[in-house]
Amino acid sequence: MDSVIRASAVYLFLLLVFRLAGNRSVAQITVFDFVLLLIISEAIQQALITDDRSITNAFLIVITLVGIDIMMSLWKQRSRRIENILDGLPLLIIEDGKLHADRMRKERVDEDDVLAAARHLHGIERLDQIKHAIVEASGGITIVPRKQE
Amino acid sequence: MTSPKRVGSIEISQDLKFQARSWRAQRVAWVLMLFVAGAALLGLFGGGPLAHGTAGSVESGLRIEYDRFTRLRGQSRMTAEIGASAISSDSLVSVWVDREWLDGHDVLSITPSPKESGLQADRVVFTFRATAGSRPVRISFVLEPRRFGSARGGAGLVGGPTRAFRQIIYP
Repeated sequence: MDSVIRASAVYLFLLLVFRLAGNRSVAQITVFDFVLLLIISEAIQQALITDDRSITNAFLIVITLVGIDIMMSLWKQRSRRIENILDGLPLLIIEDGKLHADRMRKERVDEDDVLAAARHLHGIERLDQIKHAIVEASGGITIVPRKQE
Repeated sequence: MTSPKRVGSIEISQDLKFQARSWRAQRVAWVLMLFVAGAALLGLFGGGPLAHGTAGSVESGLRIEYDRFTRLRGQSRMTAEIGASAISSDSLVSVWVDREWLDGHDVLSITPSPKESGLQADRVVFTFRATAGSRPVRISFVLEPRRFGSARGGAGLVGGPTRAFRQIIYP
């Protein structure tokens, strides 16, 4: 019983913390972010397993985590509202060439991030070659380039 | 997801009202996280200045130091400081601890080791050898909480002062 409760609590806690930290915190992982994720997993692992190192405990934890994940995906499929809350929504930060500075500030994205994504995805050289830039629900930046005349 | 709408030439499930709400929720959460970290530094979740409580004083015979906030399966300590006047002429001192409270813990160690221990209704009595000197004697219990929630504890000297305390044990 304990394992199921622990695993559920950890799942919900992590979901809440990562959602509230904002997508930008976890997308576009830097080397340090990767190290941070490893430390987080290590910290959580101790609380999940405690002093019960049995295979039964490990199985129960895995089944609970995967089970909740399946339940969440079913719930999201039924309710759009829940999906929005859990996953977030995409946001236009460059709309038809126009930069939305306030949206970018709130999403913690700057012009350098947009240009980096543009270079990476389309080999774009300048901001004025971008038609649309979108911060996706996953936190990544998508670029729609302007058509070349 | 919100069904895609046409914004200019692009179809996108953008919802600016929802976005504003979610930014607000994020900012509130960041402040809350900061408060939690601050409270943890102060010891509100155990192991800091606010976490240590005392009951009574050595002058009145018995002072109990305990962890006001502690955590399940963490290590907790209770110390009894006994005034020299409480030590009997046969060099013994008897301390009782509330049995129900003690049942909620695994006792990892008692320093010094008691000469004997026994049960007395709802109390566990530990008897220690001690020589009356000018300084108070200290007895330490290292414990590991087994139940979480609010716990009411009590300890005292047999035939002497009684001290009650309250603990919060986090899961």
